[in-house]
Amino acid sequence: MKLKQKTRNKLDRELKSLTAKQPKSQPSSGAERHPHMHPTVRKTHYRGHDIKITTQYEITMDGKPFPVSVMVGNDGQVHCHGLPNYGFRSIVDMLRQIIDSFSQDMPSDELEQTNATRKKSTRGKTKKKLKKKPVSRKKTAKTRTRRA
Amino acid sequence: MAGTRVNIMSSTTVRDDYFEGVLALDQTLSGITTSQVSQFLQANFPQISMRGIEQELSYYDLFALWHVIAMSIPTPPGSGRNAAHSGPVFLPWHRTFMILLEQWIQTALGNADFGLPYWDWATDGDLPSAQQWQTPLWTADYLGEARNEVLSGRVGQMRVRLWQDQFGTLWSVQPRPLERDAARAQDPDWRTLPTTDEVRTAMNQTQYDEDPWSGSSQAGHRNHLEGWIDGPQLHNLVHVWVGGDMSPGTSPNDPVFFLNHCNVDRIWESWMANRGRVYQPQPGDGPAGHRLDDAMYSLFGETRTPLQVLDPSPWYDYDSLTVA
Repeated sequence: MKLKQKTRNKLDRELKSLTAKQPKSQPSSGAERHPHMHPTVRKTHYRGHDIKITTQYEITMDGKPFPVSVMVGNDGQVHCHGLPNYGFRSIVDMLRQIIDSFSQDMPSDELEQTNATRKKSTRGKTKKKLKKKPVSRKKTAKTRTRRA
Repeated sequence: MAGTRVNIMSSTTVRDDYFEGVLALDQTLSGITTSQVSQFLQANFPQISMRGIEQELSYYDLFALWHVIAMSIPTPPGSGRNAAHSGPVFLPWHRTFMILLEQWIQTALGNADFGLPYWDWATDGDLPSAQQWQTPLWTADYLGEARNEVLSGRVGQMRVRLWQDQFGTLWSVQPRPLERDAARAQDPDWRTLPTTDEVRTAMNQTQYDEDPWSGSSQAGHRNHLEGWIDGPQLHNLVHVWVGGDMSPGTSPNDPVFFLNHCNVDRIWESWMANRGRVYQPQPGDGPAGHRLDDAMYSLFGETRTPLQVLDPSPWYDYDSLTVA
């Protein structure tokens, strides 16, 4: 069932009206990047002592870097951006669930190619077309941790 | 007040209206293309990488996009808390999110009295685990298949166009059916739905939230209900239990997302009916983006604060606040 044109026009007006109200101070910033492969910093205060724990995981899968974001909470639960509702007991459990959950074949990457073309035309020089490598689904994972 | 939200199992009229509404929003293209979205993200949210095919998105797809962007705004930078999750704003942000869907369905149906249905998942959670994914909810008359591709009923006609991968990249994919993987999570503890006893624990919390205002908060109604304490529990566990397209940040793709969140919102409303319309942190306290008077992120720019949505009576009420 598709919407009638009259209803669609009404939704378009609502969408336009909402977008027109876009405030200048939305809580966003280009500098706020995901912590892909970046250290997790945990801080707490206990009996007058300031405690800071920095954790960084370097994960490879099938010998290749696996740049999944990892966050560790003060309660020790491990989180990753790709599975936002999960709290894992360990990185190994997290990687097992990632392998189970992400098995989709990626489509061709027209958007990346469009971006590359746009950059090429802007810069006026040749740029190699980017192509997304398929995600490996071999069920072996190796983790290496470095803690500070 | 526009509509009354009811249990999806108690009204075939509301059930049919809901599926007719989300299907209409999903099958009507919005005029917004993925290359436009990609440019918008590069300009405003460069932390989100977008790839895949060029196509026009539906009105319904915009909810998955909105959810992904909100999840990608850490509050503050470097923390695990974001503009919609793992912090106090979790409940008011999703309330605001659902109000817009409800209004768009009202527009689509031409019925200003429509109210979203909720799924009282704790009732199913009290059943033996093996029965939980074989209830009438997971049949063609309701949500369709609980496992594998969703091909039956009206939800079987819906298509996924946006999908977020394990690295946080947002993909524009060839339109495909929804996928689910109910009760097959990797951890055996996650193969059963939340129970009424677990809802009761969230209801017994005396405070709305507490320091450190995150998934690590050891008490408080919000963190219990969001499901981080000994998690995943409650709201989080429902996502995990359904699996498939309910797992990544694009989880609003599946209309069960809104059934889950409507029930979460009902539990919060029940808690406020008992404890008062209280919220922490107050202005000037706690993390920015999560205080009572902070503007919550909206893709469409019409921002509201938690204070403005603590009382939902201008928009809707519930048929029942009995939750545990």
